[in-house]
Amino acid sequence: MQKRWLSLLLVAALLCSMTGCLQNKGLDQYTYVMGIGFDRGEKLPYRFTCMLQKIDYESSEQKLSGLDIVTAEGNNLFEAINTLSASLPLQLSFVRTVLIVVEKSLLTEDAFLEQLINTALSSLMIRYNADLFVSLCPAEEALRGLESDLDPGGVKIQENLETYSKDTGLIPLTNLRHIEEALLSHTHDIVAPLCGTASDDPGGMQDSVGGEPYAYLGGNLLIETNMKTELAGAALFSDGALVGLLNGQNTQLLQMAVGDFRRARVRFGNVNGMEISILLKRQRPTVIELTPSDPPQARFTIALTAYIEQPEHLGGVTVAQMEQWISQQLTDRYDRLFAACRELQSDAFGLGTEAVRWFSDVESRNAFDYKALCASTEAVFDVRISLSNAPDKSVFE
Amino acid sequence: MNLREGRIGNQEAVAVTMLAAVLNTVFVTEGQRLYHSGNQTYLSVMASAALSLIVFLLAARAMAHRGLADLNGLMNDSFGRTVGSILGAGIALLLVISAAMPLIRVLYVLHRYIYVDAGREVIAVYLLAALLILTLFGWESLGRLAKLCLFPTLAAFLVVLLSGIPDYAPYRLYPLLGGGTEKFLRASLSGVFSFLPPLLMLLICARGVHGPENAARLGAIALLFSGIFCMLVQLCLGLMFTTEELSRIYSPIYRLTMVVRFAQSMRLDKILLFFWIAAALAGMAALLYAASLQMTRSLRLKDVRPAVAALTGLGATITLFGHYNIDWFEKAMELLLQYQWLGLAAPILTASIVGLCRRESKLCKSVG
Amino acid sequence: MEKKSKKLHEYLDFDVPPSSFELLETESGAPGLFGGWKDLPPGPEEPLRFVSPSLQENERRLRQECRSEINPDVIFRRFMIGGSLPAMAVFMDGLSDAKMISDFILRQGMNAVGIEKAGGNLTGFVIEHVIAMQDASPERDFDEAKRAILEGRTAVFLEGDDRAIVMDTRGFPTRSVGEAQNETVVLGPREAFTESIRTNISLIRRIVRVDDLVCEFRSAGGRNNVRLAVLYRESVANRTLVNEVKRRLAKIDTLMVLATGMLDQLSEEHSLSPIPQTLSTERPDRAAAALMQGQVTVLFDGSPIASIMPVTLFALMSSPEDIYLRRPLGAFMRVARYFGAFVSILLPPLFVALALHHQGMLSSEILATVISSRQMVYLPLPLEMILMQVLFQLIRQAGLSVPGALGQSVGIIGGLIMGQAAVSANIVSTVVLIVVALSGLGNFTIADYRLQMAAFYFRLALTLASWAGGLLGLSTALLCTLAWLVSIKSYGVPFFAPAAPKTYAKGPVILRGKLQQHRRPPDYTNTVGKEQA
Repeated sequence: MQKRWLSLLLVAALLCSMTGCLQNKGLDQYTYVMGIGFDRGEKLPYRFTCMLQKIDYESSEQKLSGLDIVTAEGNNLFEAINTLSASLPLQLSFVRTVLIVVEKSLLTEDAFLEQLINTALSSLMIRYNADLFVSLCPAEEALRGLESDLDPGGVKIQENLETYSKDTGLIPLTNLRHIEEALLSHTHDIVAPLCGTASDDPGGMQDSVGGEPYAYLGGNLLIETNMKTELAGAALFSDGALVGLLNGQNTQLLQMAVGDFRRARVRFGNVNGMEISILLKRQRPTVIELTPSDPPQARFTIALTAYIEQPEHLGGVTVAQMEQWISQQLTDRYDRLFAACRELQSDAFGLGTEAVRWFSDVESRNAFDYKALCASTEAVFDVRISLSNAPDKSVFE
Repeated sequence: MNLREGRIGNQEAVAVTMLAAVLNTVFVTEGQRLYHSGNQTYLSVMASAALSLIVFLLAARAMAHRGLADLNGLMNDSFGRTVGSILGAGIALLLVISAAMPLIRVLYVLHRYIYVDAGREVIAVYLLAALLILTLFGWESLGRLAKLCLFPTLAAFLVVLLSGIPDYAPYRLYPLLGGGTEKFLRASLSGVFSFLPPLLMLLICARGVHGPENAARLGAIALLFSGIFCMLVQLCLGLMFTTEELSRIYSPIYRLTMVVRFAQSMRLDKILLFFWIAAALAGMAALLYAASLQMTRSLRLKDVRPAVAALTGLGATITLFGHYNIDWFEKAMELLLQYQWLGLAAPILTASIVGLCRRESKLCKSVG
Repeated sequence: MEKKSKKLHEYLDFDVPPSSFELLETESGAPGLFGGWKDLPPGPEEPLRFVSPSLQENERRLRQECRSEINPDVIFRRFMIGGSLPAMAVFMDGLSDAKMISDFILRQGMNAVGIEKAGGNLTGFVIEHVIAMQDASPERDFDEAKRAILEGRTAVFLEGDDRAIVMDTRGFPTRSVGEAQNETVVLGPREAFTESIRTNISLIRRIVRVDDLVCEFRSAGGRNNVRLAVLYRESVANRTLVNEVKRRLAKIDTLMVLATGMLDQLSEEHSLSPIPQTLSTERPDRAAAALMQGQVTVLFDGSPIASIMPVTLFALMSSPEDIYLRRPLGAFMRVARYFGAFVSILLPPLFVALALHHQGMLSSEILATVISSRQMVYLPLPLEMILMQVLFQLIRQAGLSVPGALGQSVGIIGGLIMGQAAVSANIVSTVVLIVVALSGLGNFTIADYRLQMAAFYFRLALTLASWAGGLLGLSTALLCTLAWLVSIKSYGVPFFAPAAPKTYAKGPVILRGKLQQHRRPPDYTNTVGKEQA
């Protein structure tokens, strides 16, 4: 009896061993790609850049010694990968890829994002939470500019980007999963973060909203650091194609309304002749009410807590007046922002996700024209500000 | 007689039924068929559970009424030995298919996402060898194993379901009953194939759970918890993915671990997957064992091991065949799920009604 | 031809019931004392031999059978009781206490008076009026008398009586009661069993002062005729369990049984399993606790280890000190022990699986450290792991084999210097060394020595499975191992009771329960008496 059991177990074990190991390559036979960049090529249609983790074998302390940037041109991504793989001693592994940077001119084509999603997710096994960035400069330069001595292997890039987005609101964060959802459902559009190097003239960035008496561009501070790539602003999409850009402050407005937002510092000008800086925090989630009238009416109720950072500059202004003033300022800006998005037919505010609740079956939901909804909706922004006297936590917490 | 039945306690019986039911449902949702006309799976799952429970309780009641020790006894008693044996063998085969279906999904997920460079047969050998070994251990060991595996498995599910809360959005559920009542009913009926086989497992091994009355009670408890849990899983999937995405995703629950931030940052996706695979193997081994026992009784054999070997081989064939001919297999599965009530629920319902209509008998009839 | 077809028939004969004994299942009807699935064919019975009334005849038989012409150990001392009755005292030199024999048998016998009043009952008269030994009994069976002599007792044969007087005169040198070497505790008693079965029984009886504690003597089943004692509480222990223990002990028929370890292997159901199905202890308090809870303890004459059965995994993982510590501390120690066991068994295969197959799951820092540490190492990572584990076992065995202080030095030298040298020589990497060291530390937290060794087998098997299949191989191998563990029974009790199967007990399984719960025996042995809290 026991012999039969043993024989069975032995056969099973032998079977498994005879089939061989499931994977033949050890961990030291791979090189790990942290980021990928896409540009237009000079000789071939596309230029692909890979940001590779570099390992310092000699060091007894810090093993990650920086990032290597390698590029290759090809007719498609696989050609470029093959070229790179052939020239590198190790096999490329995309399991740690956290960044995909695409030069903005590539995204004006309708199908590029869709192809990118299909390739990245199904063939290269890139993680769903890899973030997409739209670059104003060549993607290769943008990736080079992300190197930092404080994070040599690029291990903390994604975590830092997330914190930056939540704490400043200057960039949204969009990953491959969000893109796939938007492309498949066609009910709403994505908003991707912008990046660029200091070689670009920040003032030359064409904000789609316009009408600002001054250009507010967060991220200038980054020039003072080692990181050469600036991160500020958002790219507006419509059905997977890039249609417009937003500067830093408009991005903050958008994040405050519908994004994953924690707090932001916004500058308002000309109160009693002074510019003031206000720290805004979300009080509760934004309530969006969309009424299927003709034209459709959308009401955004945004509740924020405000903290004025230099209150001594505001002599003679009461709390109620200040709250009213801030609310009015924000409402005006929201109106302009919404108008710009409507004109570009970019459903950055997610009206489509509210409109889906009107339908009782999938056919009518799929047949609905969400672009028309986006183009015709009239929005009212009810911004409720609560001024807080208590000093909030500093950014350096 | 070497049927390796033994006896297990209440907790073990509930655990093994729950494992088989939950993993059958979670891994076997056919995206295209279920989701393309809206996501009402989180509701149809409860309806499927309720329908399965009705069939199961009727059968258990009929067995108790007639003093029968197991499901084969009920089939023989209601239809006669020959027809009863044939139907019993048919039920066994359907149980094998029910066991193979999650394995096909598991094999796909492993080949697609984890072991991309490995051959499918190679991956299958690991799963199927383990399945054979587990099935040979018998009902008692499988029950105890399920008891040990159940809570870690449910905890593994809950970790990912709860950590996805920040990313859930109710708009993804709309339209709420997108497919309409007819599609809802159809989904409920086809979902019976996920819940009924684990319940039938209890009836086949009724001796091992201290009789049909106890089996009925335990099955109801297991189904209640399984139904609620599966509903929770489907609800969370619906809150995370739109119907278009769900129609294309082959394994939504694994995709959930890939998109939930917490699971990604803690690198839990693969660990959780292997937890589920291990639990799925335990549940499917129990189903295979029940199928083997049913086949053994139908054919009036004295030892369950030949049936185990044969049906595991059959399950392996179905798994690999289904994996290689996925389109053909999907169509076959669609047909099967549409008409499985003919092969599975209808004979059992008929046998139950016949049994209930006859006079009560206190004798516990032996097998065959 | 007949032989061949018989073999084929055997191969196809599936109708062979399992030989496992199910304690719980047979509660409604206890099996016969000597029954089972397969009845053993009875051996030829030896005819009973009686003591001869002739002194000369007895002496002749004994001299012949004990080979006294070449074996001077057996002493034949003729003397006269009361000056008129010829008698002969037979005893083993070295096993018997010579002074006791001289003072209480020979002197008493020679100085006896009134022997003529004995009449026909010589043996009875001598026992009652002549010999001043506390343990003296008549024996008619010649073989029994011979066995008594070989054990160290003395047999006195009387001329004209067909009974011998057997007296306990054992006085062989034994170790005095010392401290437990392998089960040390900070709190709690320090006494340990010795090689003397009588001393061990006394140690237990000092703690278990109940009237229903039964001590049945048996012979061990080997031709070397060593005694063993089966202890249990007659009004508490499950009768079926006791009968099963006795049945298995009676079934043993080997050349020799030297110690408890051999006895366990000969009586266990799964003798090839690395997992023990009895608990071995050298502590009387632990044996006493088991007896109070309705378990059976077997003592072996000549071995300082007692065997307790039935046993579960949770009993094997518990330490004698748990009960002496305060509850939160005891619970913490237990959790740490289980954690150590998990780390010991799972850390190396998990590391191999992640490093070989699932690198994406390792953080970048760890990955970089592993890659850079393995830069010049030739061996594949799994082989490195296996080699280091084997080396670890070698160092451990060397430390055990080398006596005294030198053994400790071997452990330290082997561990430190060889490990460092292996890293410098690029035979192994530092990360693997750390993993193996952690795994080894975790191994030592397992309370039972045999379970520690079993953990090594599991670790090795799982490492091989991880090598082949990564997390898939590891999870399927772990599942199969777990399935096998839950299928094991220790004298009818499932190995994972009371977790799987769940029993009536409400107390915690891993954490230490309330002391009040120890008023009630664990229910997985289905004890007879239900003691009230």
